[in-house]
Amino acid sequence: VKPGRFGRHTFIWIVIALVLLPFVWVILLSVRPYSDLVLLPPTFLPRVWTLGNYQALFNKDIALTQYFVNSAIVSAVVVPLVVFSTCLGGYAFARLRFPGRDLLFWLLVISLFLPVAFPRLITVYELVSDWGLMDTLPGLMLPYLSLGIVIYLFIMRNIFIEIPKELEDAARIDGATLFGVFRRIMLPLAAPGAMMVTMLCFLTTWGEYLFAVTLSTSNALTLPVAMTLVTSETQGDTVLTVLATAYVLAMIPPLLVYLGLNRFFRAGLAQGALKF
Amino acid sequence: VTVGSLRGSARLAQPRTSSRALSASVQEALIGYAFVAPVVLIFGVFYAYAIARSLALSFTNFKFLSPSSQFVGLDNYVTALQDHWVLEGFAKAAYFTVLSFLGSLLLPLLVALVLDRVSHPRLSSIYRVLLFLPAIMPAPLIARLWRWMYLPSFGLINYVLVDWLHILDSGPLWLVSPELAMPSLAFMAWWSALGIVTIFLLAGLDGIPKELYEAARIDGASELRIVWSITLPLLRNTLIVWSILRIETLAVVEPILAMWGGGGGSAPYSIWTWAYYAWETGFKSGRMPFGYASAIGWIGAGVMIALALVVRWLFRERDRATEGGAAV
Repeated sequence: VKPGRFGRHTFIWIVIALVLLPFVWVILLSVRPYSDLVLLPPTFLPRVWTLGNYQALFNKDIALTQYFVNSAIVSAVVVPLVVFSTCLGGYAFARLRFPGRDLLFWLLVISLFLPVAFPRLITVYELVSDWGLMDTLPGLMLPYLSLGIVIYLFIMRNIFIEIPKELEDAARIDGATLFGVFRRIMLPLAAPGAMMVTMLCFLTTWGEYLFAVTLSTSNALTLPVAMTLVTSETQGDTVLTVLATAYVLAMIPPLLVYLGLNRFFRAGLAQGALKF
Repeated sequence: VTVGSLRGSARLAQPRTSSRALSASVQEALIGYAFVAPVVLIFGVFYAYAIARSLALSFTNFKFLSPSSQFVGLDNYVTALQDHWVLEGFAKAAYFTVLSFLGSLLLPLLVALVLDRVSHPRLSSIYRVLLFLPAIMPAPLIARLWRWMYLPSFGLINYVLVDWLHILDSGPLWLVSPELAMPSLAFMAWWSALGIVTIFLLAGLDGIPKELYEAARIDGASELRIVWSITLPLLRNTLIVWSILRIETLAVVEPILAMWGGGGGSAPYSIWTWAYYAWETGFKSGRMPFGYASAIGWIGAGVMIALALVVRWLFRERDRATEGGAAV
């Protein structure tokens, strides 16, 4: 039996439904009272709908909102710095001539193939502790600068390589300085790539876990880490329905960034951002 | 080629002395170094130094914040290779890797093959965006969500199995039972990999000319036959790249931490992979033996690198012959 076109679409929609079902479930949890959740028999849809959980999250001084702010601050500092430094570096590795350039670049790229997350974590822990930054936001931001920086550099270099050389040459002949060419011609042309890096960097930073859970214990907890430290979903201020609201809040920034910047991701891929 | 022409054209524009041209290339080099400085600095501290330092530590009996440490040669490595937590930890990691690999390759392959045959451009891109959604969600939150899904009392899994489909009489303790904990973790991995692996495989499928399928269909080949004889061979490189990337699953630790709580030790023994054990030993045990934990980490790194090389070697022959696949 040949699956017709209708069968194909049905199959895909079933798969999509299964993939999205947990998210629907958690959103439904956030709009039902805890008393309704524990009532027997269990139901998928709330019997009582409420926004009380959201009020509880903001009113009752549950620290989860503070952790949301922590996450936002960390991302707001880390993402621009990473995008800025990988734009500069990507341009230099793509276009400028300096001794040791290729050696240095491939040295960086080799690190992509080393599965040494855990050994790195050991040293980072020691460094952050030496700097007196344990359990502080800067103590997270500094190592976060290194998350994926090589792959972003690689992407930006590819983007700059794809920009026609003639544009640059023409500007140089017109007397523009090297820096002027970079700022006024190359950077605008590389904007889609930079947006792609922005998206990837934000998603990585917002959801980072291993560093955060190791380097912060109370003050500098990010939202994802704070939520994974909850040990019971059935008592106190953090019953499952209230946690679900925090969960929904935590999902919104990545969702917005993804929906907003996804087209740059496609454009970047089309421009050969990940070409080896 | 290009530098010469650039310098030549610069000279054409501003006919000056050759020392001027020389200083232009020196200037270019200086700007180059300045531009790469931030990235190189970050890399130098958090990769180059961090890796070297941890490797050096693995040959000492260094404990965090303890003043004295001595070079002990390979002692840590010898101890680690006799430590049953490490050895069984590798077995558990391998078990998880196999479990999660199968489901997170075969299911997405099926979805990708079907999705590749959706010709409607707009629907096709909507499907891709929706399927990709789990991939953008923070990994620890995915793990948390699944912890809730597995809750025995009001988790969605038991609701579906017990209250809705009546397959089971009573809900199992998915995350507490030693036999079920690892499969439960792997099932989550299937779910969270489904979208992103599908998209990855689609990138490879996009590279296969549709005319090949048309020609085969005209010749009367069945869809199954087409998949087996045309698609899969041409997808070979994509599948190899994916397999090599998945070797990193052996180092699984984040979802374990996120699902069972950050270092509460509440995780059943059956999911203590070597990496999780190294993390607990290094950061949560009172003595914080960084030297020993580093050694475990490096043994793991060595195993993963060796495996990647073996897979690469196993599939070496036809690599050069078949071009294409995902541009990764």
